[in-house]
Amino acid sequence: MVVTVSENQRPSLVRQIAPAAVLTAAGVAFVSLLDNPNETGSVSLDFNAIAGRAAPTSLIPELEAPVVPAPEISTTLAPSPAMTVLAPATEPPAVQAAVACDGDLVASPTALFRWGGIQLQVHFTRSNAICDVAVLQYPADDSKSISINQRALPTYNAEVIAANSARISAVSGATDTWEAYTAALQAVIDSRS
Amino acid sequence: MSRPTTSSQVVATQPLLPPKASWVLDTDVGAVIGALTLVVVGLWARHGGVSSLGGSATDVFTSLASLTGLFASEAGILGLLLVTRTPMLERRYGLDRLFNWHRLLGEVMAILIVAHIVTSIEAWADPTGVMTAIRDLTGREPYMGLTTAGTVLILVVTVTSLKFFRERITYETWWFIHLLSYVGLGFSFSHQIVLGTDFMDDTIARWFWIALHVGVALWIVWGRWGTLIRSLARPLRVESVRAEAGGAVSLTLAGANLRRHRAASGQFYYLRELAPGRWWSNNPFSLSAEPTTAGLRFTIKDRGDASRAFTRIAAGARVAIEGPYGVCTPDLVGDGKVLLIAGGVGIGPIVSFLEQLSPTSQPVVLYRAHARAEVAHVEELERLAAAHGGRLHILVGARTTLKVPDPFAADVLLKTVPDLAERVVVVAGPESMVKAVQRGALRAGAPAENIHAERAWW
Repeated sequence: MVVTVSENQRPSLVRQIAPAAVLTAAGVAFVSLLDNPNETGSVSLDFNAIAGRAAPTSLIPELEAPVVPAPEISTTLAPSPAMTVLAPATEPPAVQAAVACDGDLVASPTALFRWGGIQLQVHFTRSNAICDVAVLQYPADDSKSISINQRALPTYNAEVIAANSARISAVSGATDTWEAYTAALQAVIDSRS
Repeated sequence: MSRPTTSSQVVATQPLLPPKASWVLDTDVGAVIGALTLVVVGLWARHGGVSSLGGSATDVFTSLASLTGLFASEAGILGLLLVTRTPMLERRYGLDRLFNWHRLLGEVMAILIVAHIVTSIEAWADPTGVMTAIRDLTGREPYMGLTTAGTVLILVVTVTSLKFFRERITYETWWFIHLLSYVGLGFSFSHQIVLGTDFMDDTIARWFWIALHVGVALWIVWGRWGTLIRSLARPLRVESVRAEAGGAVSLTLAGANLRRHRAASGQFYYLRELAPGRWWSNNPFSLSAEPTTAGLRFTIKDRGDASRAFTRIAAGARVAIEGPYGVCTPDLVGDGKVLLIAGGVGIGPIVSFLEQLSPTSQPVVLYRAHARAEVAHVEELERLAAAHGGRLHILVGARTTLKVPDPFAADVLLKTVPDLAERVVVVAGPESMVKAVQRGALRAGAPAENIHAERAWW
């Protein structure tokens, strides 16, 4: 006669499976909610948390912002196919075909940070939405800066156009660039409101 | 004429009710772990973790850094939940098993953290090299200075828990170092939210992750620290101190709030003497008698460490208790027959076990001790064994002086207990003895599910 644990009557199959089924369903539902494109742009909390850290980034006070338009600044541009400076107004880029870039072309002040400066050229529609961003200047003194910026800047440009604001999220490893980029962009936006 | 009564005699001494059983099933625990793993892998996969594995070396390292970081967090969260000593887990698995799993998860987490550090540095090292990446990741990137400090703390905690170091520091030192893991995990959390590729871009993921950590923190505060505070607020008093054989001392702790307390024989408590210089020392001791409303008895032997102070404790001293813990209780035996095996101080839980057995259990008690002088509670054992229709065997002497090389080999056990295969086997004693008994009893034909062990809690 072998004694088994006496009062532990075997739980029903439903009782055993139900928690696993419910939790798995909840997990799958949660995962499928992730990476929602609409959610990707809304980083207000992230932005606010880091905005306080933007203090070291300084905008050149001497430079009157905004300059409209400022094609002469493009001399410092580093070669990069993703960051071609657009010719003024008449030539919208192919990818922006859906949006008519028929408004002002505005150059930002240069946002200086420890690796150099970032200057943007922002193209608006007549209804004052951002339809294109080009980078006129970015730190290119060393291969690391070039590598980081060539990776991050196209992402930031695309995010700005999608969000139509400076509220974009940072790319891993390019946080400094993000701070300077958003500061430059915000200066342009502020100057027009 | 009515006789005068004193209030203390109005309530008769009664055995305490056994602790309530846990409603948690193995499948529930599996479901929680499985779902958390699903979400963690899902976070990684949905944010491009899988597709990055086919990309450049930097992409691959970024993806791996993200995955190892997420898994390290999961191991940390599960490891912390195990040691909140929450009753629903403790009643199911027993504190010693939870501690073992906690240690295992801690080691897994440390390995994952190291892997996370290495892959992160590799991901950042392109193209300017490892040294720049290390400088970035130890301070230049936001919150990474804090995270570096936190990581160092976590690794210190893990290393001091390795057997080599653990044996060279006192329990108290180790425990206070261990508290640093809360600080370390808190410090490290910031970088996950700010720099983690899975959380800085995705609001839903970020809030889920924050909620998960806040939930775990609240659980720890309520479950672990709440238990500690409640135990300090309602201490028991040492009712009596009695010298036993071999320098052991049995203490009985009593207090008014025992009447609503639940405990069973075979369980153990953490005891903390509330006295200057002693309050921070918290040590586990097994019950050595059936717990009743009259008090909890512990038999404590001077083992040259924190137990010494307890052998010198005076009646009236205040002692805070945390517990009861342990799943090796008499309900395991049910109505069947039982073989109880005690080694050294393991006799305490065995005595308490005997008291709560049913009359049909016909217990056979094997009591192993190093020397005659160390054998404690003999009269009690003989009386209890006889009362339940059982018998007592005491085996004394150092291993080298015994007639057989292994007193718990299957053939030796069967000679003493021919019906061993029909009995529930309960063993309490040092680790090496427990292992020897488990091996011998299995070979003698006892099914594994009928062999139960409780390590000797001093």
